[in-house]
Amino acid sequence: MNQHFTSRRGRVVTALLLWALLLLPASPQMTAQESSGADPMVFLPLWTHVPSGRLSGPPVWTRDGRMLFAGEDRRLYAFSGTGGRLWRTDLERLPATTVAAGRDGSSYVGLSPNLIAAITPAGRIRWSVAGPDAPVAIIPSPDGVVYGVWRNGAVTARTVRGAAVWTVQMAAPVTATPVVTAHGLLVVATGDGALTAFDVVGTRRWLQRFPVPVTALASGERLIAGDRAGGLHHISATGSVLWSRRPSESAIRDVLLDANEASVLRTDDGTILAISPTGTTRWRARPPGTRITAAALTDEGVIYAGTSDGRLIALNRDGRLLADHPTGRSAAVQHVGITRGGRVVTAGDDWVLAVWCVSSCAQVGPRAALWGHPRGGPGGTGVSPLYLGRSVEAYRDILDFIFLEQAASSDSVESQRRALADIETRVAEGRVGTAHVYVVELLVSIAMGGPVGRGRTPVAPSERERAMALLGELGDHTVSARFARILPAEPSPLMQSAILSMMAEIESDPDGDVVTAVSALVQPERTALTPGVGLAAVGALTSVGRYNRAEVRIAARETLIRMSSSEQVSPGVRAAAAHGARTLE
Amino acid sequence: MRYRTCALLMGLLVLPVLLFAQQGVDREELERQITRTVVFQNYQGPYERIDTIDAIRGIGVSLATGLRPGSEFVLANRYRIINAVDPDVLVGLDADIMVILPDARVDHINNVRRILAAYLERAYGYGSSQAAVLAEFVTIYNAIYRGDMAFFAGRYKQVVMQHLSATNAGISTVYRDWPGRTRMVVPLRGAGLVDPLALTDARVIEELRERDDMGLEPRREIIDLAEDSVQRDEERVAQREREVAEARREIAEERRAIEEERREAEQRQEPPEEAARQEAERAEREERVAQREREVDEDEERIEREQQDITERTERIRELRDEVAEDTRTVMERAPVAAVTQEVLFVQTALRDGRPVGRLVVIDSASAVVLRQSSLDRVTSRVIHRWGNEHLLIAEQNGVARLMRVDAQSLEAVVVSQAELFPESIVLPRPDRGEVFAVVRDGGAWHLGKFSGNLELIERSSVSVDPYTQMTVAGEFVFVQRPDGSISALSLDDVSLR
Repeated sequence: MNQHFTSRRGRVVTALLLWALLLLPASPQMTAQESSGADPMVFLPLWTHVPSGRLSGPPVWTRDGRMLFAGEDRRLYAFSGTGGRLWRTDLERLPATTVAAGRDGSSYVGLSPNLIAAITPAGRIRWSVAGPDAPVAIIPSPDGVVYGVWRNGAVTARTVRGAAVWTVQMAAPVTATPVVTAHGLLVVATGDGALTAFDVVGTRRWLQRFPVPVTALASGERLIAGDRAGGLHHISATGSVLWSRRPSESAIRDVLLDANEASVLRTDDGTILAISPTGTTRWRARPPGTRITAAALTDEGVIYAGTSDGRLIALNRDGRLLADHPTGRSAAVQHVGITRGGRVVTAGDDWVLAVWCVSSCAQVGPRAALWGHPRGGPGGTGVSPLYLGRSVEAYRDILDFIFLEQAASSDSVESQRRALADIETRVAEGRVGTAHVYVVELLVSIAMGGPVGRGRTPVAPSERERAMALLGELGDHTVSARFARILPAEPSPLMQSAILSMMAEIESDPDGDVVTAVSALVQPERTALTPGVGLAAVGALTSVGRYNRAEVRIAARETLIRMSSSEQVSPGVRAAAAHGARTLE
Repeated sequence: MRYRTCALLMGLLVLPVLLFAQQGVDREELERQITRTVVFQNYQGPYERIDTIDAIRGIGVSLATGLRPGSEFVLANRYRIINAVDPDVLVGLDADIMVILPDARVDHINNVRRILAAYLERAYGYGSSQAAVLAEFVTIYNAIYRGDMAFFAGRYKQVVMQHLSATNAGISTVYRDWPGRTRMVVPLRGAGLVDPLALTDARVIEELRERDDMGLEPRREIIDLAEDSVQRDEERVAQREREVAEARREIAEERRAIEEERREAEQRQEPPEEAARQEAERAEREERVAQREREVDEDEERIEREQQDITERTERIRELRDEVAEDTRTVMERAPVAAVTQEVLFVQTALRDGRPVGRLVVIDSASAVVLRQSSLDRVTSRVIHRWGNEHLLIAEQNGVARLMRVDAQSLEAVVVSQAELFPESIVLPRPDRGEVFAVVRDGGAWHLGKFSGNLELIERSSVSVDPYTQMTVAGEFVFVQRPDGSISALSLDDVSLR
C-alpha cells in the first residue's frame, strides 16, 4: 500500500484528493463552489425565440423596457420583457452592427454595405444615410448627436434627424467598438495603434499611440483599453496612460467594467480574466475542453458567460463557479446580455435567443423596470453611465456661442431677429453642424419667451414662433417634454398652436408627455379650443402616435377619439380628430 | 423503370413548383409528391484495397488543378471534370460537370463527397466545411433529379445540356450504377462561383427535412454560403453605383463647361472661321459626352437588372431562413419532456474547518438543476451506497461521524448508529444479509465493526485496523489492512481473525 497513507499529512492530502472524485466538473482553472449555505444558482428558461438568422450583436434595451436586436434575416425586432413580439421591421439590407438604442426610444443600426439607418420607436425606418465604407458601430450620445464609425476610419456625427454635424477621417481602419467616456469624449481605436478622442463638436482632444492596435474599449468612470497582444491599459481623461499590464498572450476581445471599476476581460483564446482596478490579474478561468465565446458582467461583479459548446456559466467576483448550465443545444453561444432586472439573455450560433431567470422567475410580468434603464440613461450602449450630456455652460468659451447668445438675449428685437435669421439660414443650408448642441438651448430660451440667463423684455410672439419652428426642424425630443409642461398654462392660442406644431414636427415623445399635455388641454372643464389650436393638437397627436411605441400610440388615439366627440372643439376639428384616430388603428 | 416514370412525372411538376416557389411552396403538396427519400446504397463487402482519405481527396484536387476554364480534364481515365460555361448566353446556369468514368472504383457516397469537396476547395477557394456542405447538397440534388432532363433543361444553358442525357444526368442512389453513368451537375453563377441557391431547390430541402434533426445544420450552412454570395454582389453593385454617380457628375460638369465656353465665345465675338472651328470642337466633345452618357445609361440598366436579381435572391434566402427558424422551433419542441424527472444523487462539497465535507443533493439529470437538498451538510463518506429506498453513508453529527440511513426522497436521516465511525471509512454493505461493515472507534484505536440493518453495532474486531483500510470480501472472509501495513482476513460472521 502506498506510503502516503501512513502519515497524517498524507492522509489529509489523500482525503482532499479523493474528494475530487465527487466535485462538480472542474478544471485547474475553475474552482468548485464554496458552500455558504445559500442555494446553488440555477438558470431557469423564461422564453425563447428563433429569429431567422444570427443576431448582428447582443440585444439592447430601450428606456421603455423593450428589447431590440437585428438579425441576418435583415429584420429588426422589438420584444417586450415577457417575450411578446412588438414589431418586426424589414431592413432590406444585412445588419452590420449591434443595434443602438437612442434616448427617445428610437434605434439605429448599421447596414451592409455602407448605410446607417434610424428606426422610430414604432418600428418605421425614419432615415438612412450612406457612408464611405462598412459601418462598424453607432453610438447615440446623450448630447443628442449620433456618432457613426466606419470601417475605413471615418467618424461621422449626425443629428437625430440624420443631418450631418461633422466628419473626421482617421488614418487607418477602426479596430475596436468606440466608446463615449465619462467626460463625453468619443474614443476611437485604429489599426495604426492610435487611440483618439473627439469632443462633441469634432475637435480632437487627445491622441495616444500604442505599439499594437487596441481591440477592445470600455468606459465607466475610467477608460480601459485592451490590445491585440493581450495588453491592458488604463487611460486618463487627458489621454495619458496611467498603467499598462499584459495579463494575456492572446488578443483581448471584450473589456467589461463593474460598478467598482474592476474589469473582466475576454480573450481570443476563450479565457476570461478578472483584473483589479490597479491592473493586477486576480484570476483567470477557462472551462475544460471549450472556450468562452461571450460574457456579460453585472454591477455586482457576477459574470455570465457563454461557451463554444453551448453552455451558460456564472462566476462570482472571486472566480467561484456559481452555475454551469447546458443551454440544451450544442451550438456556440454568440452573445450574452443582462437585463436590469437580472435576467440573462443568450443568443446562439443556432439562431436561438433565450431569456433565463437566475434562480427564480418570481418576478415574471410586464414590468418596464425589469428591462429598461433609468430615464435618459444610456445603459450598455458604449456610453459611460456617468456621462449624461452637456449643459450650455460647457460652450461658453466658444465664440460662435458667445455671438449667438448675446444676440438672442439682447433687449433689441432686431438683434434677436438677426440671431434667429442666422440660425434659420444654418438650418436651411444644413450648416448647423457643430453648433447643434447649444443652438437648441438658445432656441428653447427664445421660444419659451425669455432671454437666455437674463430676465429682460419678453420675446415677441413672432420670434417665439420662428424659434419653435426651428426647434421642430432640429427634432430634439427633450424639447417636446419641456414644452409639454408649459402648454396647458400658455395663455396665447397662437403660441399654443406653435407649440403643438413644433411637437408634431419633432414627433418623438418617449414618455407620452405630449399626449398627456394635449389631453389636459381638451378636458371638458377647460375653455373651448380655437380651431387653430384644435387642429394643431390633432396634428401633434397623430404625428406622435405614429412615431412612438404602442402605449403612446394608444393614448394618442384615445385622446383623438375623445376630441372627435367633444363639444369643446369645432366640427372641423372633430372630423380631423376622427380621421387621425383611424390612422392610428 | 417505375422510378424513372415517377421521376419524369415529378419533373413535369417541378417547373410549376419553381414558379410558385416565389410565393411560397405548398409543403403538404410537396410532401405528397415525394414518394421516397434519398438513401444512398454503398458497397458493404470486403475491400481489396483501402485508399486513404487524403488519396481520395487528392482526386478532387487533381481535377481542379488540371482543369482550364471552359474546357475539360480527365484524370487517370476514371474521372472527368467539364467546365461548361457560355458567357454570351445570359439566361440559364453554367455548370461544372463531374463525370465518374467506367473505370472508377468509388463505391461510397462519402468518398464521392470527399472528391467533390476537395475539388470545390481547390477550384473555388471554399473552406473545408463550406465545401463539405456544398458537396452534400450537390449529391442530394443530383440524386433527386437523376435523369430528369426536363428539370435540367429548365435551368441550365445548352452548353451544359449537351453533356447530359437521361441515362447519365445526376447520380444514382446505388453505387453500382455510378461508373460510366454519372454526370453530376454543380451549378455555377456569375463570376464562375458555385450557386448555392440553385442547390436549395424545394425538393432538396424537403429531403433534408426528412432527417431526424431536419437537416438544420447543413441548411444553415448553405444559407450562409448563399448570403456570402449575395453580399459580394451587393458590394460590387454598390461600387458600380458609385462609379455611375461619379460618371454622371463628370458628364454634367463637362456639359456645363461646354456651355460656359460657348457663352464666352459668343461674348468674345471671334472671327467666323475661328468661331466655327471652336464650335466644331465643342460639338465633338458633346458627342463624346453623349456617347459616354449612353454607356452610363446602359450601365445603370445592367445595375438595375442585377439589383433585381439580388432582391429576388435575398427574398429566396429569407424564405429559406424562415423555414429553418420554424423547423428549429419544431425540433426544440420535439425534445422529450420527461413526465418524471430523471433524478440523480450528487454530493456537493465544501471545506469546513479545513476539511472537505459534503451535502446530499438531488439534481435533474437533463439540466443539472438542483431539485432538493439535504439538511445533512457534513457527509464524510467517499461513496454513497443504495440501501433499498435509502442511502447508506457516514456523516458527522455533533462532531462525531456516524453511520446513517438517509431517505432517498427527503434526504433526511432516518436511522443513525450510536457507534463512532472513522469519517472516511469504507462502508461495505451486504444488503442480502442485512449487514454493514465499517471502521469504528474503540478507545484509542480503530476496529472493524459489523452493523445490523438497523445500524446497531453487533460485532467489533478484536484486532485493530488501519482506519483507511480497504475491505475486500472473498468467501467467508473480509480482508483488511492492519496498522502495521499487513493484510489480515477477518471472518464475516464474527469479524474474528482467521
